[in-house]
Amino acid sequence: MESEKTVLGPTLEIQGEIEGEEDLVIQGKIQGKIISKKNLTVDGSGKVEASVHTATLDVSGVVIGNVEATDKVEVKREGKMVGDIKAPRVIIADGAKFKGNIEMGVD
Amino acid sequence: MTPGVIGKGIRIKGELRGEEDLAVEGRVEGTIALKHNHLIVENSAVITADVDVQNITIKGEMRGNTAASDKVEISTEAKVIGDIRAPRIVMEEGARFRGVVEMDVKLPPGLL
Amino acid sequence: MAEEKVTTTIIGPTIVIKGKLKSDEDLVVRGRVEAEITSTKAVLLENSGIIKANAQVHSARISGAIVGNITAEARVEIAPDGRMVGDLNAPLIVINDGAAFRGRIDMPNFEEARTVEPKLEPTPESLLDSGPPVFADESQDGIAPILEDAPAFAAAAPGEVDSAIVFPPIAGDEPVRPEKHGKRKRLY
Repeated sequence: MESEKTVLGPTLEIQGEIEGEEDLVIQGKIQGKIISKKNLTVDGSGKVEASVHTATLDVSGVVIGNVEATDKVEVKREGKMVGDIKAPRVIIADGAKFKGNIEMGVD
Repeated sequence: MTPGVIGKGIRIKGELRGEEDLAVEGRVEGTIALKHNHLIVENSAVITADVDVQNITIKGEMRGNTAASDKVEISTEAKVIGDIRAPRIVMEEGARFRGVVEMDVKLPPGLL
Repeated sequence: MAEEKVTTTIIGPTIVIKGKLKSDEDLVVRGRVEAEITSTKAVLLENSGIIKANAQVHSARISGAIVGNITAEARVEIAPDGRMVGDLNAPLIVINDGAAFRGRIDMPNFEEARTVEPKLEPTPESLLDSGPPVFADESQDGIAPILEDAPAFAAAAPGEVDSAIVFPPIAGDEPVRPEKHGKRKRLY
């Protein structure tokens, strides 16, 4: 069964709020707030200036904002992130750019 | 039922009422009431009237308001100015229309 | 030469977007968009989709529900399952049987005469007068038909011309010789 996936293409610019219960791939520019219950992917061309609440986040583009994930956050080698991360698992790949605080594992 | 025809060379000014289908090829100014019938405004017709019908097919020029109990069809060659109230409306590509359309629109809950 | 990739955005059924949305690619809406849409391409509102906002687009096809005004450069089509409450402004509009629409419809260039049919003007006061119906292309005050040997066009001519018949300059072509001989400055 094919899972639903939303792809916000490279020419898309959204200012405001995005909410979803399906996987979300961002290739354009988002400013505001993203709330996802599934997997959020910011592709190479993607630029997110927003607060993010998600299950998982994969960053190959740019994310500027605080991120809260219930599962995992991964900033890939090509990725760049400025903001705080709060997630049980965090991966910052070799070569990735990151600036902010990381809070892992809640006790 | 073969429709009655108002030919190209006929011009009517006043109240037109009837109980049969009607095709207008000429000019009518005033009001047209064919409450249980089909009015066809042919290509050559020019209607300047408010119209109360069951169905209407507009292929010519019409200025006036239309009330149809069944369907309004605006063809490609038509030019219509006026308001329309009907449960069904069909507008073909190329038709020229200007006015307000009133139909019952059932929207998902909480949308309006 | 860089190859331009044509992309399409699909907004899935569980997605809700609020705010403002700008796009230069086709947009398929299956979820809920409460964001003002500005697009240079097409917006396809599918049956499950909802738009609650105004949209300024190149073209649109509505199969879902929209509450908002649509202004389109090219064309709007309301499919049989489409439902719209709002105003439509587009040069070409198609409403299919079964569609539900409530609002105003306006078309730019509404008054432009068709290339095929003669322009008909109603003459309310003279309806009972004798005489055959008057068609605009026969009347004196209607728009004059364009004839091949028509005299000077109103279009601005770059230079002065003394001869009676003037042909608009066509860049790159040989200068056109007027029928009548007369003093004539080069138009370009």
